[in-house]
Amino acid sequence: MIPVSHIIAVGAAMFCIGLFALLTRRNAVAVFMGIELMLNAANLNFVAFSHAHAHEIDGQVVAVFVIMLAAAEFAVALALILSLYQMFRSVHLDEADDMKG
Amino acid sequence: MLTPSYIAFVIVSVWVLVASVYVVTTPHIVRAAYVLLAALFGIAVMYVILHADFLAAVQVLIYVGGVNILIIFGVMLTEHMGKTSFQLVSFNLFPALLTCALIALALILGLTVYPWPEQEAAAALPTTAPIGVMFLTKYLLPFEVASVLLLVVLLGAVSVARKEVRG
Repeated sequence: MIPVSHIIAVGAAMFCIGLFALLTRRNAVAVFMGIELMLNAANLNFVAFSHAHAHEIDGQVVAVFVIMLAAAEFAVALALILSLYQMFRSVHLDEADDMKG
Repeated sequence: MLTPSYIAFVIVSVWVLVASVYVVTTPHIVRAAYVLLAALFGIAVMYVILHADFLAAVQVLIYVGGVNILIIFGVMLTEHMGKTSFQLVSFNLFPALLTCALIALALILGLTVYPWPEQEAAAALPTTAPIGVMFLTKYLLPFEVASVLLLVVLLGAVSVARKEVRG
């Protein structure tokens, strides 16, 4: 028996850690690591609710969609990061401040 | 309360949280990428503890096997080998800590105020077949939209990443 609130607490802590990475990192790839942590924290909540209601697995279905979206999102993000690197020779987000490449 | 599954949950939680903190604080980006792999694998173990067997397999296949490789690609393709090191710089430390503390406060309030549903004791059943059925019945429209989205992402990523040729 694992109380639902404990699982959600772990998810909340992970979300805050990911948010910290999002706000403090300069390197775009490290920022995306923070976003991956936040998405996983949200997924953990979906699975916790699915676990709380026995034999209702809607939460797990939504979690599969989230994983799929995260993978798609990172594919586009990697393309953007490579494009950014070609234009600015750097992946530091604060150096990419030109509106016109 | 102290059942084996709860003890396993606590151990895996500590593992995941320690790995996550390391990912966001280490100054070395390759180490961050590999420790992120450990954190995502810990999440997969947590799915096993929560009786989500299909999701655990998907997590290992897509996150540990796919997204993390992409992250390591991203690191290796955008750092000059030898010229610049893999060092990470952190900035905005104090405002970020403040924001995180505020969000954490809001989450803790929500956690303590709202009465969360308590768990019903249930046997662990395989979830793969029910999830597949739900994809083709209740969640058919999101499933189809997701497949279109994957196609768009495939084309979009190629067109964004290719080198721009201008006259």
